[in-house]
Amino acid sequence: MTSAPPGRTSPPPSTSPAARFYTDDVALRTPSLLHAFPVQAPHTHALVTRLDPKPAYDVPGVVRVLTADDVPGANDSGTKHDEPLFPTEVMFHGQAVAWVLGETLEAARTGAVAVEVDYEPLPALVTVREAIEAGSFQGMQPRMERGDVAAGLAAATWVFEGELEMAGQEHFYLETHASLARLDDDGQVQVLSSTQHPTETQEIVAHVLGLPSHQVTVECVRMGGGFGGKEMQPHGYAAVAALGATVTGRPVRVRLTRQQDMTMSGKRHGFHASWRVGFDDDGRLQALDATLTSDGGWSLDLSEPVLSRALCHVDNAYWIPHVRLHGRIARTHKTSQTAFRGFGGPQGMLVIEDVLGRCAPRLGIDPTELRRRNFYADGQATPYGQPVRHPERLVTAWEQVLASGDVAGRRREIAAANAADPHRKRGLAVTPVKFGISFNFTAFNQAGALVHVYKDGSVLINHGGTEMGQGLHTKMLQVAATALGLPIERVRLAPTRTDKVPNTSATAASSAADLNGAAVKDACDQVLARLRPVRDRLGPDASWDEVVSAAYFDRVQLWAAGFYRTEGLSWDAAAMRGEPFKYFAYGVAAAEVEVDGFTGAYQVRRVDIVHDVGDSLSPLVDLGQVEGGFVQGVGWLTLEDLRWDASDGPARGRLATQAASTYKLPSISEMPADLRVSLLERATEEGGRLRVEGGRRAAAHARLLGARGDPRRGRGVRAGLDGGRAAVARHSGGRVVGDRTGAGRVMDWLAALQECRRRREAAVLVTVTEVRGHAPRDAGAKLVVTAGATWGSVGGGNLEETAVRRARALIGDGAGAPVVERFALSDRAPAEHGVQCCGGEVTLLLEPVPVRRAVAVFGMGHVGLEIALLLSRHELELHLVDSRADQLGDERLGPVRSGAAEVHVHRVPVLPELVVAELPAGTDVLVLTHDHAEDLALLDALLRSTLPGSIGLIGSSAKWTRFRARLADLGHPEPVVARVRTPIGDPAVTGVHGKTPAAIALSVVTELLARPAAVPR
Amino acid sequence: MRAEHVEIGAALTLSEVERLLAGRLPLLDAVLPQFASRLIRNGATIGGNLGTASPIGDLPPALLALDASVVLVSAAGEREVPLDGYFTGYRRTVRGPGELVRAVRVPLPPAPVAAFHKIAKRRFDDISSVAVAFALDVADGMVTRAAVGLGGVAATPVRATATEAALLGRPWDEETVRAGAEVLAGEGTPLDDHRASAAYRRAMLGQSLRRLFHEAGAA
Ligand SMILES: Cc1cc2nc3c(=O)[nH]c(=O)nc-3n(C[C@H](O)[C@H](O)[C@H](O)COP(=O)(O)OP(=O)(O)OC[C@H]3O[C@@H](n4cnc5c(N)ncnc54)[C@H](O)[C@@H]3O)c2cc1C
Repeated sequence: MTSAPPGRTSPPPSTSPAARFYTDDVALRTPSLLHAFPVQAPHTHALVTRLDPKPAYDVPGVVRVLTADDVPGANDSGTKHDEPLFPTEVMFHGQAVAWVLGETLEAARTGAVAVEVDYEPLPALVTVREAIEAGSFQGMQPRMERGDVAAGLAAATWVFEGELEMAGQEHFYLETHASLARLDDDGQVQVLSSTQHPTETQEIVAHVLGLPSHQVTVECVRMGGGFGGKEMQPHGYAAVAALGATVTGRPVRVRLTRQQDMTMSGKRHGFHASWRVGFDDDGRLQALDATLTSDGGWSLDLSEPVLSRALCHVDNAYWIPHVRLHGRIARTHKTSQTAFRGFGGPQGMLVIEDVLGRCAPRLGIDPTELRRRNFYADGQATPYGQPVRHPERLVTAWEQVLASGDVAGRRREIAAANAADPHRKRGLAVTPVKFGISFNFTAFNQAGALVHVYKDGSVLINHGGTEMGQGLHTKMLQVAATALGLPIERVRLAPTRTDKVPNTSATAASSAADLNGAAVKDACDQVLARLRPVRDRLGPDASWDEVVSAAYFDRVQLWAAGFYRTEGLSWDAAAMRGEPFKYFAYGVAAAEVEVDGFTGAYQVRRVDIVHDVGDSLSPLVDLGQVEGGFVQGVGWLTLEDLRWDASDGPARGRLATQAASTYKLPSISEMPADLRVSLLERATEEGGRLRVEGGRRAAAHARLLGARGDPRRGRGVRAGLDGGRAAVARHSGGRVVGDRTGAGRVMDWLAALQECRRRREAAVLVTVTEVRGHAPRDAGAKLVVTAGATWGSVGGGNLEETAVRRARALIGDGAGAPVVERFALSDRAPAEHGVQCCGGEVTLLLEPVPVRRAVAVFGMGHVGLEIALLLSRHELELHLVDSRADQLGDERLGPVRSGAAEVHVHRVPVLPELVVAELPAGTDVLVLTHDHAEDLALLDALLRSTLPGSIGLIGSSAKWTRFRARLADLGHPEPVVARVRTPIGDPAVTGVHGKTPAAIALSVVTELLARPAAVPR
Repeated sequence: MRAEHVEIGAALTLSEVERLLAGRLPLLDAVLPQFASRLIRNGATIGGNLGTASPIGDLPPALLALDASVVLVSAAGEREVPLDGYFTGYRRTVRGPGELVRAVRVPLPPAPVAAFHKIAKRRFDDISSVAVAFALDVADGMVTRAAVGLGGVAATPVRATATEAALLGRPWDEETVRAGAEVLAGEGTPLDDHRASAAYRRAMLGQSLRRLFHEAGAA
């Protein structure tokens, strides 16, 4: 089931015993606890004309009935001030109008039944279409515009229009909403809440109680899943618990049953979209005019930012010169729809995917080809004005999926299978995703952390992010331990609390690890800086504990508050323009589905996903996130069915599918029979912040990619249909339009060579140098050959096949020298691959283009810079890494960039050793950072990796003696440690020229280049 | 087990039933893998499935098509009731107070053409929207025995008697199947609910006979 926290890492031994519990586990261990139970309205829209709690007090065990009269502050639990906690107007079926507190849950439940409420029913808007017709909207109605849409449509060869409706989705986290509130001896309100946004929960609780924020502390130990459902929705439940605790003086627990959670809490927004689109003769998008209306439910909640993100993703991976997007939020009588993994992004992308999917057959272009043809190219910008950086990564991912998924071969198989079986049809869709990373709301891109070093050297960290099974706390422990150079057991993480780190942002937008990790690192750096003089005084042999203890007696502050904000973001919400995203993450999925023509039942046969997650801190966690996200997407678009009663009967507006028996999550039977997920290699984001997480954003895209699994998606996405299978039957009639095989990507020989170089694949360039008599191609024709592919042609037929074989033999031999071959084309002469009767003679030049040597320099201080300068004069791939951004300034590196080397700069404020995993195999690595702890962490990572060709360390023999001991402690056996070469450098050079940075660099480079490069496997 | 019928103890779990029958009733072999999941089948009993008498239970349509009867027992003694007469209304049966299902009897030999079509949203661990069980005999190209059990189309599991009549004595060919499918689509009184619409349920009834013909082939 998707609701299981995906990819959750087990709690490390250093977490506190309390952290092993979830909120309600703590609640149930709390003495004199009261249980809260809601009085849910049986109407979809109604006025509360009378509410009499008295009969409830006759129920034994009922302690208190909470109503609006009890609220000392504001009767409002929404950040937009449109969510009365105790409403006088019921706005959705099942809304709580009062809460009963009981000694037992059963007493509270019986009491809730006894509360007498009279209602005056009112007409209700249940579907988004009804709301549109009634003009019922709420909040902003943004417009995003670029170019001249009218002119673009007028000039287009083809203009199509259509409508699309997509449903919402229940979060179905395993742990339903839960809060526990109590008062401490000072009357301070302590709330334990399953919340992704403790600060906002604190603010709402304070608002309801009429207290300043410092009187309220909210703590989140951990969540059993959130998926966005606990970003804004927990506040009201926390407020009810807090109100109950204030009124009774006893601890109060709110814990929703599954049914209450499903009927009361908000969900993913369903959307309605109408569009007009123009294409040119070649199927290139010219103009798009679309209106997206989200189903916001009864209150605004997060609907505005969700809508913004949806509009920012309508372009998905495609360049559209003229765009006009209009967004609206329908107000309907339903739960307040809210954040859900992807936060509107998937809904926005679905619109353009629907456009392309439906228009492809009308344009007579294969849908895969149509998508590929419209990809962004370098230099183009999104409709909101943000340049699309690194669009080539998407192409790489696309080609990786086509190749590893053998898409062309499987298309042939599918065509054969479809021809053979009249009742079972298969289809295969390839879909790209581009997803913007960061909160659209710029102010949320900040984070804080506390790092306490105690006198005994143990460390406690605290940060603003919350743990919901995504492994954030584990990542933060890793960051602190690495920054401080300590084993992870010396660091403990305390649960997230608003009295520790204030003013935090929600754990969301795929940015929690980035933001909080950088804040943790900042705090660690401050402590380290203060410790440095002490360490210098005690000497290099002093242990961490000795340094800390000495620092305490020197009265050095041993704790620090760290802070981080993402630079360079801008967003003008009124104009819908700016650069709201730090970067884009890309992904591609190829999904093959089979549909049974008798029933419409379908099966996902195979899915290949390549996803860019940046540099993964925890690849296993991230792969799990992609898989989980994918299945969650399959669930959203093919199976899960939020069925709101839209009839005119008495149950109108009620959620009919309010339990697991009727709301079907995907189970193991819906997993693709064959699911292959891989992460895009070497997708380093040089953005200057912690390049991690990715998992959640990956999940978001994967969810969308999952949606693509259904080759008939263009036919309407399950809007109020019979559920997965029935919908398919209704829409497809058992008919699948199998994708016609598209033309492969054509690259000329130069682009192909560049691509090989980029991918570090050995190639051979084959050129026709001379032709005598009759031959298929003239002199100058070129062909690029790699172990697995070819581009261009020297004339086809047996000549070409022979040339390819020779070329591959050269690659296999690792040959460096060119070879000339002569072929006679007659029915008698050549014979390797049959005959070719043009009667001429052809001379071919086969030039090997081997993979370039790669060198990585960790640490760009004086010596590092000199080394980089010397290396940059050679044909190399040069990787420069430093955790100090100022060492990698453009000015400083200018001269390095002017050489023959291809320079890759890795700015990594935290965990530079993560770069190790992305270095090409066989890289020669030089380690000379400014920091011994960093050196050690790097060596540890390098020795664990099989990638480096060689590892060189600069430093004294004393340093090496200490490092050897530490590396042994870290579990590296002696022969492994011996892979490190130290000291390095040709002593002849330093002997003559002294130990200036330039001389050391010369000696190191001389020695390095004298050794042959390791041959990458 | 006697020669003329198989008797299945009501307290056997479905996994045990599957193992002990060892292929003697191909129709049940077709049902069981589609019934919930192994986890549930290891605990669920055949008596419980008949005891709960749900109109969307999976065993009743199959047992109806197999002409099964139930052996009821109480302090007063035992009686055998044809399954066709066992269900009296929505989750109601002829069982009196204090009466239990002791066993289920299925006459032998079973019809050779057997199939169970379960339509549900999810492949594993889901309840049927519609279920159709077929037990047919085809000799010399003619349908000589036709029993069809349905679930999810009425307040109780039912026999598709009109469909059976439309098939019996007819040649097992496309024309019969086309006509039979139309009759089948009109059986029962399927409802709209959150599992499926009435129209989809009716469509699936008709489709099931076409699929049977396609899969079993002309005999
Ligand atoms: C996840 C899940 C999936 C399921 N999937 C399916 C499915 O695919 N198809 C399907 O048909 N059902 C399904 N069910 C329903 C259920 O598993 C079956 O009905 C099962 O056969 C019940 O058997 P039991 O032994 O557990 O009965 P119980 O639950 O113990 O009893 C059910 C009822 O029958 C009565 N009863 C039990 N034994 C007898 C007896 N010998 N005589 C008279 N009355 C008796 C009990 O008193 C009770 O009222 C599913 C249930 C779950 C939880």
